[in-house]
Amino acid sequence: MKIIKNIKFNALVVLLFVSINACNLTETNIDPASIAQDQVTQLSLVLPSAEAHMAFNSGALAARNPGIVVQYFIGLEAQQQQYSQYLIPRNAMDNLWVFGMYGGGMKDLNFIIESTSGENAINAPYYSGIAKIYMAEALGMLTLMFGDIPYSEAFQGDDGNITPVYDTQEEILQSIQTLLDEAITELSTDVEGDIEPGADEVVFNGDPDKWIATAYSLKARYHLTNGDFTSASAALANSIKSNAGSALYPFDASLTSGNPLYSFGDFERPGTMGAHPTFVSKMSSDPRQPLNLPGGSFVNGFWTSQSSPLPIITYAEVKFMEAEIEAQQGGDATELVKEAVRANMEFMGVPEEDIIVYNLGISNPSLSQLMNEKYKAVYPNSMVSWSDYRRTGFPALTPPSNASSDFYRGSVDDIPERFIYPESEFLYNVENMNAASERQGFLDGDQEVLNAVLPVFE
Amino acid sequence: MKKILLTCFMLVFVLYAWAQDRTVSGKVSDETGAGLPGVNISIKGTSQGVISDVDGMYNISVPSDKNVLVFSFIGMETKEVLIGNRSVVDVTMASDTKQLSEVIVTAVGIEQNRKQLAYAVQEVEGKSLTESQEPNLVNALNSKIAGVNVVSSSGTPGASSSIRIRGNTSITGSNSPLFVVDGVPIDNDEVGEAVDGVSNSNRAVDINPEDIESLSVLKGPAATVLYGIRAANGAVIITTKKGRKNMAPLISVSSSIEISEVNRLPEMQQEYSQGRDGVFRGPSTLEGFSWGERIDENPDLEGFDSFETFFINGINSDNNVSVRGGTENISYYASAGYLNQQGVVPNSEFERYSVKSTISADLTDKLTASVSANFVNSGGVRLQRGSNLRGIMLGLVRNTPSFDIGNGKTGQAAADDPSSYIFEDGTQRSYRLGIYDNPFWVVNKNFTTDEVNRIIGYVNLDYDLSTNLKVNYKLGIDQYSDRRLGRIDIVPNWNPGQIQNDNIFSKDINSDLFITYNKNLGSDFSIDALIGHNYYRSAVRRNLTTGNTLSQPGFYNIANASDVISSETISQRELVGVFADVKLGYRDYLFVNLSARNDWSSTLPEGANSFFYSAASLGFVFTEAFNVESSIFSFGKLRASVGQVGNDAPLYATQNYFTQAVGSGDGFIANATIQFPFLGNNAFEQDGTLGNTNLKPELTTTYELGADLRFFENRLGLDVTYYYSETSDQIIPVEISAASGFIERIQNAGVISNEGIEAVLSGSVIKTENFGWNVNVNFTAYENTVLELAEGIDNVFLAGFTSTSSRVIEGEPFGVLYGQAFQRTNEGEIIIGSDGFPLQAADPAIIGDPNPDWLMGISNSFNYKGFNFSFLWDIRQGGDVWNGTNGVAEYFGVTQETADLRGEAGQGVIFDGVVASGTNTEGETTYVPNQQQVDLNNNAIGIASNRWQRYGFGTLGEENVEDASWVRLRQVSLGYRLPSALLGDGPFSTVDITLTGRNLLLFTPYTGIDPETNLTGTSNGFGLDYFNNPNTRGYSLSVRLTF
Repeated sequence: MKIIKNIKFNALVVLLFVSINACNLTETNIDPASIAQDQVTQLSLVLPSAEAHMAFNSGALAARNPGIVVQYFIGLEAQQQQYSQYLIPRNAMDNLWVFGMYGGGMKDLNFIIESTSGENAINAPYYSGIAKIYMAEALGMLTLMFGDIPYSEAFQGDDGNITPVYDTQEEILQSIQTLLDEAITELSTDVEGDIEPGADEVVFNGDPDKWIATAYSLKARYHLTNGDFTSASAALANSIKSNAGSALYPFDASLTSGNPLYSFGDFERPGTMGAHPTFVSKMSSDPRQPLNLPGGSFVNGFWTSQSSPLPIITYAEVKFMEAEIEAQQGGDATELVKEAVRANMEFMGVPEEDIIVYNLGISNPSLSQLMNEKYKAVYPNSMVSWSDYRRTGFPALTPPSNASSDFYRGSVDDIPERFIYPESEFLYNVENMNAASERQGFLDGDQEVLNAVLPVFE
Repeated sequence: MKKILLTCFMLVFVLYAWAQDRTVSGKVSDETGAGLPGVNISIKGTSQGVISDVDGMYNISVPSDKNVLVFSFIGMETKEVLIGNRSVVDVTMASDTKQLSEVIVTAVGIEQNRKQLAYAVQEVEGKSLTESQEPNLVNALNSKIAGVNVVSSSGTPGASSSIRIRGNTSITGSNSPLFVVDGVPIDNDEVGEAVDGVSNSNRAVDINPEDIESLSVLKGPAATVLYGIRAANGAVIITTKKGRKNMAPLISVSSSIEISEVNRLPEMQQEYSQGRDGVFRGPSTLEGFSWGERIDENPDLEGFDSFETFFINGINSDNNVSVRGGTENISYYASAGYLNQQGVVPNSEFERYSVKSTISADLTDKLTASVSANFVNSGGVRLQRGSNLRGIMLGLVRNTPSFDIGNGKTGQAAADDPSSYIFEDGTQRSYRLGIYDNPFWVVNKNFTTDEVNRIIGYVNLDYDLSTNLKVNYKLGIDQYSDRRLGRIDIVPNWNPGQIQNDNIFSKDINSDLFITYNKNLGSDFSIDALIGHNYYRSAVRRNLTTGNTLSQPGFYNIANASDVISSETISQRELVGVFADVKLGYRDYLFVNLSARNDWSSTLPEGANSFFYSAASLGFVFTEAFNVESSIFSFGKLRASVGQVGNDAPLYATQNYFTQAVGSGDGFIANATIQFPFLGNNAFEQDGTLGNTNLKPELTTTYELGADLRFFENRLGLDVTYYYSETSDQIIPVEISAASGFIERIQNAGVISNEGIEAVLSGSVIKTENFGWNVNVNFTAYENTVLELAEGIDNVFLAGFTSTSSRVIEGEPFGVLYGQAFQRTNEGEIIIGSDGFPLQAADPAIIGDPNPDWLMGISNSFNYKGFNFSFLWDIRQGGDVWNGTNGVAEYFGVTQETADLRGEAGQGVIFDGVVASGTNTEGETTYVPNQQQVDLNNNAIGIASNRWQRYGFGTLGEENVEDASWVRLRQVSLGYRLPSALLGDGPFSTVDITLTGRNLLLFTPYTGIDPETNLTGTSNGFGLDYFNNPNTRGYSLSVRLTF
């Protein structure tokens, strides 16, 4: 019958349509604007992302909030004012942890390290070495902000571990030294046919010797933080030898390549943060004053103009480490301090006569005077100054009179010792975070506090 | 004798006259005045009748003993008319509004008899939409339909509106219903609505409400399973106006004009000047605060009301013309419309040109083809808003009372005079010299223009294979291009300027083929069956070019930028579905409906991309089954249904990708974050989303029970529905610890329940020949609860800031507000510190619930002869909104409350709460009531003592969550139709004049702008007000002519 034939015909058409269409739908689900993970083989495309994250973040939250704590900066308005009163809640450092470090630069560094090791390893020991140096620095920055942090179980999301345990601070400091040692070994090799970084690596253009010196310098910094003068001295023997060897993050004079301290202070949040009176007064008879605080503002200074670099670790800091070890062991650190100060001033372009005049004031410096000089010379590397303060108690800093005790155990009688763990960890990894807080004594009742001493400084 | 004979003769004569048939003639028209052909005119008490002709004219011979004519026509109220002595009886037929036409358009464009439907549907007439005077179709639905919640993001021209049917069920997927026009699904997306930037439109704004004949809302899966996953949140089925066969061309012209003004603003102070610690500090100091001295104590200072200075009256005009008609084989409809909306913010504008045509032709007696095309050009001038130093409300609210933003002028005059916002040297004139923009600067220099060109069209073929079997094929296309140019001009010293070219190109293709079979089996059974195939493909390409650091002020072309970043994203998906539906009817009182669908989606993993779901429903008209004859209870139907609908995954979720890198990590540095190429290098980084190759489709199961009861001969109707649904295996990108190397992971997790009641009560209270009073009440109450999330996850971010946000949290209602809170004891008392002020807790907490407890719309309409008067009350009970604007305004000292409390009134305040007093024997802290007196503000100590600065910028989230219940007079209208006698033989058939008031009254405890607002537009997070633009009320006059 015609009707039934029509039905049969139409059913066939439908079936045909269906079977054709049901097949090739998967191609539609491949994102045309991204590269599939298993297609990425060029490390020269990934290293710049890691470096940019490290550069940007060390000058953004990692410079400002610790800087407010060590009184390089003061909050004048909005959130920065709140932080100056020690109302530093969990969400203050969240972006750094999530988008800057673990979910930002560190995952890229981990990708490079994993790609260059194990089976199917890409033959690129220099990439691996540089990535390990950055990873060590990243871990150092985070552990000195918070305390225990995840590392040995980190970056295993695609294997199903989305709640990594927190390594102890001691384990982290050990991992830092291991990473730096491995980096030094890898950067010292010369393997046939290896892939080497060049212009894609913007700090030293891939120069392995400069990176080796940097690695030793970082080893010294973290040994010193740990109070291990012997190991620190050993590392210092091979560290940066001149201003030309200083490791600096470069920036450029355009909106999206600019120095983050400049960007924040000049137009993103102008008027919300200024130079702290403590820093201003220490700079008052210092020839670096017009360079650091032009017109009284911290913006557009030597380190805070749009194309200014920011320090990873400088020759001046290395010299100060040598000086401090000498002083701590009872020696006379005069020459070392003078050289350290000179190193910083020369780099900043202070005229020679001013350097000589200034250095005349340095004679058998006490630890206090030495650390004050270091405080001024490593600006704006807030993390280094904060470590130094917690380790030595210098320079003497008093909390502001309007400081709130909301996030303190007891009353506010000292500057903060740490930041409280970020909100994302509180939301998504709370058990491990609480376990770490408890074993480090960070809790007052059930409130996590800012004034709990980190294990390494006890 | 002669007299008796005469009387007899006259009697006989009269009797004879009476006994004769008489001829009655006249015209039958519909409400627009058009003649109605095909109307059945019968003589009551006989079987005699005639049919009206093409022009609606009729001529009938009526026996002398009969006196009533009955006029009936499908879809219209049957009318009985007493002839009396008349020989000409003209009748106007009205649409059968109470029963809301027996015919309802349901899934896949099929018209259904309402009696047979076993699930919840509600209909709105096109007229009701145009009466609201809302240019955005979604807003026109507000408070008219039970179960539907519409929230407009602001009163700005072209602003988006979100529509939710039965609340939210999907955490990250879309919760918007599917919009279907004449059987073709169309795009209602909104591209881009962040916490800052400009306010964009949802694309239903392109549909001209004038073109709509009727609109029905399908609410649960039983109703929408035939549309598949795109209708998982319900469907709005729009039927546009069409021509009619054998109808003389009816031309309709309408014109309306509306004047609008801001309807509600927060209370700001004009007493204290710019400055701090009670001392005046002027603009040259760049002072942000308004904690200065009393203005009335300083002769050099004057206080200004910034809102008064800035907002103007908006004007909307809407003009439309249409023609519809038909010959024997062709029917046609064509329309053109122009809408122009000028907002209450100077220079804000939205325009829409719309041209539409639908033609249907019988090609043979079995084949009908129709073609429709709707071309729309829309766009406007959009202004920066929200959390944005360059936005309007931010600069306007923070402006200090001692600074006149208009420099002596107000409104448009100030906006047009550069001297109000710019100095001769090019620097900005504002209270902080440009740190926040003077709103007059914003409207001249920080605006985005957009232009959308869109075409929605279809080709439809209907073929009758036999009397019972039909085939229908429809191919629809919805394509638009949206070009946006965003401008932020250079602010000397503060902002290097930015240009954005944002080009969006979207194309949707939808193909539907189905075969229907309808037959009555014997006298008791009927069957309607359908099988079909659907193919849908969508592709959106977005090219975004951002140019930073401009060279020449006022020049808005990408060539002016020295730093250009460009990106292109492509979103694409395909769906194939086959479906079947069977309806069985027994004796026209028992109906069973079974339907099923299988979908294949491109977004699910290969080899596992197919999923099946089905629905069953039962309708029972028990009044007919049991032959209930009652003058009180005239109709009763019970409905029960259970249905499932699936949903697929987000795009590209099945694997991991590397994307072009961005050096991020600081929320304060948003524009200047490192972008690639950087220092000469390009870079890629692992995308933060962890893909999942084991994704399964989501499934929502809904149970629904309902009753449709009518009383007093259908004069009073009550339609009640109860539903419960659960969505499981929700595919969510769940945020995870970043230490895992990823920021979020896509997984099946999450069960959300949704339970609610909808009720519609409609009554024709009074109905006489000249006067009528109708009441319609709709009531909605629902609860969305997050029953479960993923293992180890109990909190997912929807929208907002790191400080306050709307989230999905296990065990809580969907979208709860989450932010900083006070420290509390286990008993919930606030803990006060040693300085007498409440302490802030380190951990954030749940601070509010933006979901309303219930919603109600009450509409009354009266008609008397040619007059019609109606008003619509909109009541919402419950629902919190975070008033972030207030938190910041208090911090700066610009609110009236801070003015009232900063002086004597704010001294010696004791905060309600407890203070720690020691520890008890078990080591727990003990508390005593707080007795400490504090000064809320003490100029001698300075800002440090200030209560509104103590918790930092914006104060605590908890302090600013407010109840946003409201009672609102949403619509009032008074209309008059000129009597036909007045129009006589003139060209016009009908002339209607209507006065309408929109949003005239608002009663609410919320202290900010109109709480019907949402910072993030149509996104899933809601309940956030952070410098949102205010809403408006309007007064309009419209004239409508037909001829």
